[in-house]
Amino acid sequence: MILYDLKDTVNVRADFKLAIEACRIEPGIVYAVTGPNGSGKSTFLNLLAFIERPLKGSVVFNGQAVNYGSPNELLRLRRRTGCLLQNPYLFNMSVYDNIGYGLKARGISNSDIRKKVARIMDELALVHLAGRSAHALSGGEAQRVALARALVLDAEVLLLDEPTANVDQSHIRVVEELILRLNRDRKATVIVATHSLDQVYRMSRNIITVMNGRISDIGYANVFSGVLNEDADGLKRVRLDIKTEIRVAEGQPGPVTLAIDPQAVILSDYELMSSALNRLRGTIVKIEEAGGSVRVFGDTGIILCALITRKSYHDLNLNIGKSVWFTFKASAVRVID
Amino acid sequence: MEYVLDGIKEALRIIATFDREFLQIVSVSLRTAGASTLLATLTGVPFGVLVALKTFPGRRALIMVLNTLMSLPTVVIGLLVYSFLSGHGPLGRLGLLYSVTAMVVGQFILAFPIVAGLTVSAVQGLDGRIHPTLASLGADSHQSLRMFLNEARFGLCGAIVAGFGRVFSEIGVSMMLGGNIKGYTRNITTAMALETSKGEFAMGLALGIILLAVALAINVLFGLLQRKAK
Repeated sequence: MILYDLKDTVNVRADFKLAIEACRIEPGIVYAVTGPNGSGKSTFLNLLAFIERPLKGSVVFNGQAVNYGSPNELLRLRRRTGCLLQNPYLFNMSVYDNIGYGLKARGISNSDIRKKVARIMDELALVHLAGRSAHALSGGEAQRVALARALVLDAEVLLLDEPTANVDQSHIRVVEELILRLNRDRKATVIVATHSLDQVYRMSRNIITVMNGRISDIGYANVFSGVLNEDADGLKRVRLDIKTEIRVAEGQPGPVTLAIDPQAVILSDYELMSSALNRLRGTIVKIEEAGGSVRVFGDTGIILCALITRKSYHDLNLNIGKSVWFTFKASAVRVID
Repeated sequence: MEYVLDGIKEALRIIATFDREFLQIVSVSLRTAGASTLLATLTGVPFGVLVALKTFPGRRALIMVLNTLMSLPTVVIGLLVYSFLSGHGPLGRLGLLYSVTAMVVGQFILAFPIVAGLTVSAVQGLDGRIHPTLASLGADSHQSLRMFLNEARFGLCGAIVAGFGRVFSEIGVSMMLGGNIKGYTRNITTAMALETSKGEFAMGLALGIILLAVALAINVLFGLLQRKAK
């Protein structure tokens, strides 16, 4: 079952073009959309929220092609999503009224609105702000109110653009856990756009990377789970399987998730004697084009990905089955608790 | 100076004793200005919102015309409506000339571009994120329109107050279309002109005080509403 199926979808704004050759989103899964600022993450989410319409191509939702010429159908589809826009706007009314607005628009009874709004305000620590004018809030408070306004809808699809932007550190985990719980308990499909790699890896293993207006699957690579141990001499290592251990520069002992940027991995024919603490030998199992670069996957006990230039690829004369060394520094390993 | 002070004393007496003629004059002003402003609000606000939110050919030119009409001289409107309502005019048979209705029509033409033009400015000045936010929250077109009106409420109040202020203090339309008929179409501004020309300075001054007091009261009320809403 596919929830969203985008094919050859092109969306053009005055100064920006988002082109999606193909993208499929399955129901009930948490996706993280990542990429640099201005890469097209927000435009992608707006397409999924049926706020922007593609100039070309098709968007199929739940097996039905979206008819952008029908305002009623668009409204019906929009009401199946809970959407937090980037840099959200709060209406010039109270916090309570802002949070309840989407429910009111859907014709939910006042008593149900009261219950739902009270619950989400409690979960996001907003109860004390209920009567305050939304325009008198701090940046972090406003962000949480906008998030509450999207989450309170109990929608089957949650589209959240930078949900923890401006949110103080103490509330970030609360927000993330609430979003994940909505996915777990209500089987909501969650699509979170963020530029924080830590957040990406904390929230999802299904990563959609948007680069220069195109969708790439580069972000799927190099995310591992293991247990971090610290030696008496302070050396930190994470065992991933019986024969693979990775040195890391940060993190607390216990279960952790590791993320290694494929660009930080060096490939060589022989073992490099350098300051880099991680040197793994493996056999190349897959080679892929990646928009001007080449992705090389090697089996070192774990499947590691390195992103290299075309020139390096030719210079090293790489091919499937060849044995190479994958080298990266301990500090290149991102440790997510 | 004594002349002025005596005039002020007499004016205050007229106001304090609720002079019948004085109340009649004030009543005509309030009724005509109120009715024309109400009509201008009912038509000008939706018109202004549509012009602000929709895109269509000639939109910029229309906004420019509205802005120009905001400063239309009252005697020009008076003349224009007079030409339609006079005995030889196309609507002469209706017999509306020198009536309160004719004054309301003229004042409506005066107020409409002010209310509509300032509504366009108020709605265009709203945050550009409102529209996608409403779409993302599943608001339909009516709910969206209501929210736009709600968000622009201060600007809309300002537009209505400006429209009322303009028609309440105008004289050209009232004189040409109402005819300054005692007890019927005589309002504050036409009475002030007449009384002053007759040398009845006190009555003119009393009416002037009321004119200023109403303008002040409306502005104070508007200020209070703004403060309360914030």
